[in-house]
Amino acid sequence: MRFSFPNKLGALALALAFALAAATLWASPASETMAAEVEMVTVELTRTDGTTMSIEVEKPRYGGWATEAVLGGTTTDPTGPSHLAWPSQPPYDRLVVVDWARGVSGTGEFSTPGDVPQVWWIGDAAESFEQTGPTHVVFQIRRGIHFWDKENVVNPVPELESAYGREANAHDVVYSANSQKENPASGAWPNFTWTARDDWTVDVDWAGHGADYTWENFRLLGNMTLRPVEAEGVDMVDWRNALGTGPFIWSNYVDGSVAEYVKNPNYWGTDPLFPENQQPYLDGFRMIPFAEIEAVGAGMRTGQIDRNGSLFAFLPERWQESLAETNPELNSRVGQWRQAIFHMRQDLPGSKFADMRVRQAFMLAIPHQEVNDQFYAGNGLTYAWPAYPTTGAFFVPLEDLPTEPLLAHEGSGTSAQSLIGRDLDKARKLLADAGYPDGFEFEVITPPEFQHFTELYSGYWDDIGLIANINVQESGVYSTIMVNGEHQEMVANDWGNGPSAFSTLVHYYDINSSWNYSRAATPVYDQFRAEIAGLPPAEGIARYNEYFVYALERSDTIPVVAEPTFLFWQPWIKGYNGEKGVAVDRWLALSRFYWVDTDMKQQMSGRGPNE
Amino acid sequence: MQTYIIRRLLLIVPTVFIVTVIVFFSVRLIPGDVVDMMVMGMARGAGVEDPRELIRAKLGLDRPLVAQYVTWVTDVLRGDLGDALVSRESVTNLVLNRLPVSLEVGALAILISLAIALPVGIYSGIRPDTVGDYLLRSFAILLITVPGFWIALMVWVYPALWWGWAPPMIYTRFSMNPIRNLTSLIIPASILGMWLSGVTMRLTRTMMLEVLRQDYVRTAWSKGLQEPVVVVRHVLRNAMLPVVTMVGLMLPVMVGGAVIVETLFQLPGLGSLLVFAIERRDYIVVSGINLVVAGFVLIVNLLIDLTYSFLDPRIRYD
Repeated sequence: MRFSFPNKLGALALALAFALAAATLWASPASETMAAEVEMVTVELTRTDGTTMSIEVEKPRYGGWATEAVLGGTTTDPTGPSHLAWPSQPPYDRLVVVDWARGVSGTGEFSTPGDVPQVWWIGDAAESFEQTGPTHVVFQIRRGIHFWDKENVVNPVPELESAYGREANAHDVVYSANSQKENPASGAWPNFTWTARDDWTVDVDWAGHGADYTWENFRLLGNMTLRPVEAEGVDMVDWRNALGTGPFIWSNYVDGSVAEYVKNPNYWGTDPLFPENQQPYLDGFRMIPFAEIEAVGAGMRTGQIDRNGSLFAFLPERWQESLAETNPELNSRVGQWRQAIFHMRQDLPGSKFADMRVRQAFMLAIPHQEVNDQFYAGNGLTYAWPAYPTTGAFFVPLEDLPTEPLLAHEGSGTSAQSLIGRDLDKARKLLADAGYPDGFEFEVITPPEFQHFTELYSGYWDDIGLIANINVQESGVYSTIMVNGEHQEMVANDWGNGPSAFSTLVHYYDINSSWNYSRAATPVYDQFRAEIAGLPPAEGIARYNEYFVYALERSDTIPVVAEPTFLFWQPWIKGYNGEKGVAVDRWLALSRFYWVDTDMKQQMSGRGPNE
Repeated sequence: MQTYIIRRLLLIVPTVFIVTVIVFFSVRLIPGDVVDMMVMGMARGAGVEDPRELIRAKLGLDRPLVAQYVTWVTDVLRGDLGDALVSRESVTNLVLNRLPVSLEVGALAILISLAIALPVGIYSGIRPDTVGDYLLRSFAILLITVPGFWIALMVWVYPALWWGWAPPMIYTRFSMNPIRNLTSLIIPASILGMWLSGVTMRLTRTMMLEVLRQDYVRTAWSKGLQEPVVVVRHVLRNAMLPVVTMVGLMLPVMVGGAVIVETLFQLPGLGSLLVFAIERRDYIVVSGINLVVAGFVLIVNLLIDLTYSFLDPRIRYD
C-alpha cells in the first residue's frame, strides 16, 4: 500500500508526458501555412552626385507590431541624456536626420549616421536649413507638423489643451532646445543659442570650443525632441502627459520593463522610397530594456525580439557565429565598431610616455591583423585611428601611409605605416634608445567593460618588457578618475559612439579638451585645427590627411583593433537593411521606416501580428 | 500585549532616525560621483566652462551634507523621497511602482521555498540518517551552493538553444492579466526560492531532530499516539519558531535583495532599480530604497515577534 503511491505518481507522470508530446506534435507550427505572395517593385533613386539608380524592393504593407531590445536603464524624461532617455526617441520628432534614401536601404552611399557628412543630413521637423556663417545655422520649420490629437493620448492634460492637434512652430523648437539645455544631466548644447526669428524660422548660434567645426556641431542638433511651449511647467517626465509630433504615441510604460507605443494616425512623414506612403507602417512598437546580453540573444533566437535596436544592445562578435549556427534566417550587419584606445599621461614630470619612441614601442608590439583574425573573425578594423575608414576621403589607407618617419625632429623612431603591424625588434630598439632597454612596469586603469582588451594587449606588451599592472576600477570610480585627471600613467578607453572624422582632432588632441586623457599638447595640433576649419572642403580634407598621418606617427594615444558589434534583425522586418539609426544617438527612431511581414512572422515565430 | 506593541512602535522612531542617517551618509561614501558620471560623456574644451559646479548647484549637491540631509529628512517626513538626480523622476513614485513587483516576487519565492522545504525537512527530521535523508540533505546543499545568477543565465541560454524557448520577456501587472503575471514571475521566483528552500530545509530538519528528543514528545509516543499526530501536533509546531523567524526576515531581504533575478529577468522591482541607481551614484534613489527596505524590516520584525505568542502560548508580552 505504501509503495503504490509512487507507482501511481509514476504512471501519472508518464501519462502527462505522453499527453504533452501528443499536444506538442499536434500544435507544431503548420509548415504548410502559405506565406503571402511577395510583390516586388522597382524604385528609382538619385545619388548625391545626380546620377540615378534603381533598386528592387518588396512593396511595403501596413500593420503589425515590432519589438526591439535595448540595454540599460531608462528615463521617460524627454530632456534627459540620450543614452538613458531612449523611451523618448519614438514619440518626438527632431530637427534633422540622415537621409534614409542615401543609406543602405537606398543608394547605399553611407552605412551609419555617426560618420555621415552634412551633405547627407536632411530636414526632419525642419524642412530645410542653411549655414550662413561658420557658427550660425538657420532652420526653416516644416509646415503641417501637428502635435498629437487629444483623443489619441493616454492622459489629456488641461494645461496642454491648446497644444493638442496644434501645428508645431519655431517657438516650440526653441522651447524644446532650451528645456534640454536646462537639464543638467542632458549635456545638450551648452554653448548653443536658439532664437525664433519668426513663427517658422529658428537661428542657432554657437560659440566656444569647436565653434568652427560646423559638421561636428551640426550633427548634435539631431538630438532635439520637439515638444509644445505649453509644456512649460507640466510634468513631462510622466509619460502619460507626453505630447509630441512623432510617429508613435505612448500607450503603455512599465518602468524598467517595457515601453509601448501606438501609431500616430496623423503623422506627417512619408516613406522616402515610396513618397505616396504615409509613415509609420507599424500599428505599434515596443521596446524592452535588458540588463543581460544573454537575454537579448535568447530573444533573437526565439523570435521574441525583432531587432536589437539600441547601440548598447548590439551583440559582440561571438554572437555572430552562434546565431548563424542556430538561426541562419537572421539578418545581421556590423552595427558599430568601437575603437579600443589607451591614453598615456604625458604631462606629469618624469613621464616615460612623454618620449615618442616609448609610445611607438607600445604600438609596434601589437599584431593588429592577428588580433583581428583570431579574436574578431576579421570583422574588426585593424586600423581606424584617427578617423574611421567609413569617413571616406578623411581616412588615409594603410598603403598610402608614409614608410619613412616624418617626425624624426620630434623624436620619432619609425614611420606611420610600420606602426600598424608587429615588429618586436624595432620596438625593443626604440625602448633601448629611450633609456629603457629592459622595459618597465606601468599601471593601466580600466573599467570592467574594457578589461578584456586591456588584458589581451598587456600580453603583447609583456613580450618587450612592458609589464602592465592592470587596475580594474568600477565604472563610477573610473569616471571620477578620468574626469578629474587622477590617472598617473595609462588608462583604457574606447571611441565609438557616433564618431566623426573631427572627433579626434577636436576632442583628443586639444590640451583644453576634457577628453584629452593623454594630455597630448603640441602647437602643431592647434595649427591643424585652426587651418582646417578655415579651408574649403577639398583643401580641408587634404590638410586633414596630413593631420591624420601626423597624429598616427606621434602615437599620443594607442589605437588597437576596433571591435565590431552586431545588429541582428528577423527576416520578417522589411524595408530595413541594418541601419544603426537616423541621427546621432537616435537608434530607436527608425521604426517609422520599416514594416513587418506579419504572415512570415506568424509562420516562423508563431507570434501574432500584435505580439 | 497592547503596551508591548506601543512600546515597540515607539522604539521604531529612534531606529528610523538612525537608519536615515546611515542610508543618507553611507551611500555618499561610495567612491565615484554622480556629477562626474554625468559629465564623463560630455566633450568640452576651450571656451566651454566645466559644468560640474553648475550641475551640482542645480541638483543641490553644492550645499553642506548636513543641510542636504535636513532637507531630505524634512521631505521624507512629508512622504516625499525626493527626485532622482539622473532621471528627475519622483523617487516616491518609483518606489511605489516597483515595490509591489518586489513584494510579489519575494512572496512567491517564499511560498515556493516553503512548498519544497517543509515536507522535505520534516521527512529528513523524522527519518534521520536514512538513504532518503542523505539524498535530500545533499539536494539541500546543492540548492544552497548553486548561485542563482548562474541558474538564471542557464535558463536564458540553453532552452533557447535546444527548444527555441525563452522565459517571458515582458512583465505584465497582476491587475492586467493574472495568468501572464504569474507566468512572468514563476521562473525568477523559483530561482530565488531554491536557495531559500535549501536553507529552510536544513533548519527545519535540525529543529525537528531537536524537538523530537524532548521529553514531551517521548510522552506523546508513550501514550500510543500515531506518528502524524505526534509530528504535526507536538513536534512541528514547536520546531517552527526559528523557521518562522528566518522566513519572516527573508521577506524584506527578498524585497530589497532580489537584485540578481530582477536584473536578469528585467523585472521592474526595487532590486533592479537599486542596481541602476548605484551604478549611476544616484544618491537620492539609493537612500530612498534603503529607507523603505529598512522600514519594511522593522515592521516585519515586529510582526514576527507578535507571531511567537500564537505559535507558543508560553510566550507572553505582558
